[in-house]
Amino acid sequence: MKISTRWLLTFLPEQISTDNLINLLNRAGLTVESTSLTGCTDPNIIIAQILSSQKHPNADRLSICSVDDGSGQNRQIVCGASNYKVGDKVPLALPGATLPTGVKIKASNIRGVRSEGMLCSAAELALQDISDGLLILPPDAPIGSSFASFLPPDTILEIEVTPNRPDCLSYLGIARELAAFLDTKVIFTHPTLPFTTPNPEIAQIHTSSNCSFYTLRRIRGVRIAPSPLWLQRRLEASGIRPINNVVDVTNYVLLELGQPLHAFDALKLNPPISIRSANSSERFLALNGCEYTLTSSDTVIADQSNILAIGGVIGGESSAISDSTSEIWIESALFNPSSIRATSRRLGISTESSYRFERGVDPNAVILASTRATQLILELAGGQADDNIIVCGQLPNPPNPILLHHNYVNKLLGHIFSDTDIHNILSRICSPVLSQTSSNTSTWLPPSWRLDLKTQTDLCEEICRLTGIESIPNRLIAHPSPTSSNDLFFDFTINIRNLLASHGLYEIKTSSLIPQNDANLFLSHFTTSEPIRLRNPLGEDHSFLRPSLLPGLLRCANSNSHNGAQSIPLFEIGTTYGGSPEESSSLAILLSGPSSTQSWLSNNPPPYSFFWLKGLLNHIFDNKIHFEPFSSPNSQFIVATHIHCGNSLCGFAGILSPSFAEKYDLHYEVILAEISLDKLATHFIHQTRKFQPFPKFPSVNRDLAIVVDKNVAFSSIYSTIKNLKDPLLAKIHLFDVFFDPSGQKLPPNKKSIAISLTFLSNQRTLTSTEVEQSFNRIKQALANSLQASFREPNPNP
Amino acid sequence: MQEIIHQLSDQFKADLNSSNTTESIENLRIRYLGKQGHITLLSQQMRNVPPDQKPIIGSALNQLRQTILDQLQLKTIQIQKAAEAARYANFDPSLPGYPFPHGSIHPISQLLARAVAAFRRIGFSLASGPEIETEFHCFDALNTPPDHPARNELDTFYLPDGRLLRTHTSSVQIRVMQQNPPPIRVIAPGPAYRRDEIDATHLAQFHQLEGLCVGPDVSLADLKGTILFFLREMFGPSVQCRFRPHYFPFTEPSFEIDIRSPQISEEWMELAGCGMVHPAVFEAVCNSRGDRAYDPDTITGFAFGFGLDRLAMNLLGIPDIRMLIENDLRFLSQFS
Repeated sequence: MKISTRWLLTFLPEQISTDNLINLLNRAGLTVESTSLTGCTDPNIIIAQILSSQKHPNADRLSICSVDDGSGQNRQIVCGASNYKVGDKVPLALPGATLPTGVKIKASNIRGVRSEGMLCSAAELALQDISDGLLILPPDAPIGSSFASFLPPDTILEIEVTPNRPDCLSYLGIARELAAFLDTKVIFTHPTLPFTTPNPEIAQIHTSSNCSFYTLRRIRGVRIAPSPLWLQRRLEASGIRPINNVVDVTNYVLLELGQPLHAFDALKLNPPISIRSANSSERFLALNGCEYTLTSSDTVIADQSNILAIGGVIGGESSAISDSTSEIWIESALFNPSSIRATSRRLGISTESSYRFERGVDPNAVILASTRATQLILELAGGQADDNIIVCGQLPNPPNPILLHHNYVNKLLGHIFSDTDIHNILSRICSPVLSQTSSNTSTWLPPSWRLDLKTQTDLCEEICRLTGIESIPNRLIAHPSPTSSNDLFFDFTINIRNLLASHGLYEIKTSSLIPQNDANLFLSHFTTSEPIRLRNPLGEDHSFLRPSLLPGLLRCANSNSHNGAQSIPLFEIGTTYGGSPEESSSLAILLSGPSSTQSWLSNNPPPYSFFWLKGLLNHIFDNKIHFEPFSSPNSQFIVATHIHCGNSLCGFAGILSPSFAEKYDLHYEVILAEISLDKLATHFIHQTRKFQPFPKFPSVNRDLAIVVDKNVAFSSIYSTIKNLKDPLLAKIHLFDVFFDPSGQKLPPNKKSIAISLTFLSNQRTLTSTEVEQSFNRIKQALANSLQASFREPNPNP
Repeated sequence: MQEIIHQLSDQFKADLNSSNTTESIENLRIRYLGKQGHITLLSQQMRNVPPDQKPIIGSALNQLRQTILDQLQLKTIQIQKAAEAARYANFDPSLPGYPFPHGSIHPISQLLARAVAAFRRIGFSLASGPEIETEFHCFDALNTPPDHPARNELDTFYLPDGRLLRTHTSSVQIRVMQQNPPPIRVIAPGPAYRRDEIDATHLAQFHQLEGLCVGPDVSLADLKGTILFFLREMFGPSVQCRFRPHYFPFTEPSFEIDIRSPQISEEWMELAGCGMVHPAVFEAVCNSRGDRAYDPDTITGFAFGFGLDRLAMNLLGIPDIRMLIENDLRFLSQFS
């Protein structure tokens, strides 16, 4: 809400500096979001009257004015505006003046004509954001006196009013809040309220659940005209555009008291007026020029023939105040907040009125506001008001008294407030019910405008706010709390992050919301269920919950490639959605490009490869995982393997097909992996290690070069040897893989796999015969099951 | 004989001087001490020496042998040292070191790890809850009425089945209290979602750190002390913080926490929301548990929620929140 400090301070008995005011508002929870200055302070900006005006000889759009600046001598000014007439009073910046924008005014020649100053617009004096033409002042503006004394500068505060405090959506409400903090009373003279009478021939409520109380007051013989400058300024400072005296008064009272009002042209409507639910698909032309189709959940104000207004939201074109209006009805009513909220949201209309009604207004202000508006209209537009206000419906019951246990205050706030403290503080807001007050409890009646005060906790908040949170001590008691499974998992992921980063990978964070194409990209690898679509995405690019982290990694690699990155080692740890369980924590890795920086020490660093990734994962996951090839159903992968841990499938690793990688502008081999950390964690959390004694006896190494068909996997060789369960075989180490396309050393359809076998016994030093026996058995097994032959191992692997 | 020994000694000195490689030293050793070496041959002549001279000659000969051995060893070491020195003579330690790759952990993760460590020091453990939430956990149980503005489709992402993406991590409060009796002392980091258009200060998906402390004697004073401890751990002892009264449906009193620190900014910056758990929240938990474990007449508690993205922006001086999800390597590598 935009507020004028100048207007606000009229409600307080003491002057407060702007800084102090901002501080108080912040302490009250009315956060000041921004401040701005309007108007000017420079005494060289004065009020002048235009005495004559003639066209500039050398410029079509300029004119030469002679003005009276109060000095006794006429002053010549060149002016570009055209909205004035001779005799108007306008602001004049004399040479030497500085405008609020910082512009300095000098006497100068404009296209050959002397101009001794500048006539100003409202925007040039920081009174409006934009304005058209000069600011025309009222006829009683004193010629020659400073503009600042006529229209003093003002500080405009933009404050945030939280939804629980609709009472602060008015100047009086904010002033009451400040008065409570300053322990003083607001200045506001209550007008004498008129009598109220029901009159079903004028108004009837047919939907009491949506409108509990409705009032109308007639004023005859009004003269519609522009409002006086002071009122226009207060509206403008608060962000409301002035229209005419009657409409401006309704808005003024809305700002002053927080009660929305509406004025109807009485001669354009045909009573009785009914407050009823709209008929479905009834149409209504609103004041904003839009036509709305209504439903039965909307409340309308209608006469015999027309809908006049959407109750509490917006008025209609047909009964609007016009220049010829002479008789008006002032409407002041109480509408149901949720009904207003539903209508306002469904129709997409938010007005000053609906904004207040949907948060709740002070029931006791309904008649007060009507009376205040009548008073102002009679003052500004003349006319004669009816003696009585016509009312229908019932005002709600006054709020219930609240019983406050003082122990509870102290327990909740962690500070001892005495009975007197509590009494003194709360008396600034509520009325004590003295008959129901004892030493440890007190009873309080909240004011009608404080719709948020219902329980003793609400009163505790008031005590805390008004005394200031600084008075509450800082207490810090640390309690032991045992490690949770979430703690263990968090530490597990932190370890993985550290290990990956220390091997040169960058952690990224991408959005969980991805486009449909991305959601379907790698679907068959990870989940059998459909990816989850949002019902109301912000756009198609963020419409699905990601079933995999890989599409995000690919997009990230793509944008980094665009930015010139060659080496792209990325990982992400995040949630993936739609599998079983519905949300799981995943790790994904993308590697592409050189595996380290080229330097004088490593001239040609090798690019990242599948085996780099495999080695990394085995290192991080302690060799507890293994990779098994499978034929990928997706053509995006040229190589695909499943990652297993124990007996469970927990991930995937592969090489992107180069043509697919090209689509992402990735020219090196792209290696991808994705692993479910939930599944893996069970194998790592709570693991304990046992010390293994060092071997007591020397080991014996034997190398073996195995020649097999090219399509025989190393895993077959490995498992063939392992399956022998030779008790002496301690280790199998692969040290060379050799192909010879030329066929000179090896047939082209064969490959040579060179391994080193380590034999070891815990009981004795092995004899060469024993080793030879084991070695030969291994060779035999390989020859039998894989048709392997053997050759001399490469002496210099 | 003694004369010969003298000559041999002089000759060795001359030979040694002219030998400057390990090979020539080895040759020298063979020439003097080898099987056919001068000293060996001379020793064989000892039997021709008259007995009265034997001790003198013998001792002179032994002395010479020892001198030759020592000199050879000394010279060998000298040659080796000279060779080593020559090898490293032009060593340039100013050359750059091995280009170890620089990975990095995302700033949000780094910050979260620090935040978690700070809260663990005062006895908070970690909790978690799903991101796809029910309206009950995200709104109803958090005292947010059905027609509350936050619940509408313009502000909250919904799934076709009526569930939603949690708009705050506060839903974890309900999950934790449903599953555990008091006392509770947990923090819960994780993403939350709001249907905001993305700009320099807003993301539709952001990271929060939720906290909940509930027990028979938990007060606003504890909340203040806890928050202040955390802020000092994160921002240093000179950080100033202010609790600005605010409104959240699920806490009362409610505050927003602003901080100001000479190292970061002279302006107050909003960092978190917090407050005392609203009695209506405890009632909702009691109803769903079917017991009175969280009876608001006996149990109180505080809750807080920090925006990690904003925390990261403030601590690391990141001007635009979108940089945190753009994952530009030139950005990430600054935080390795």
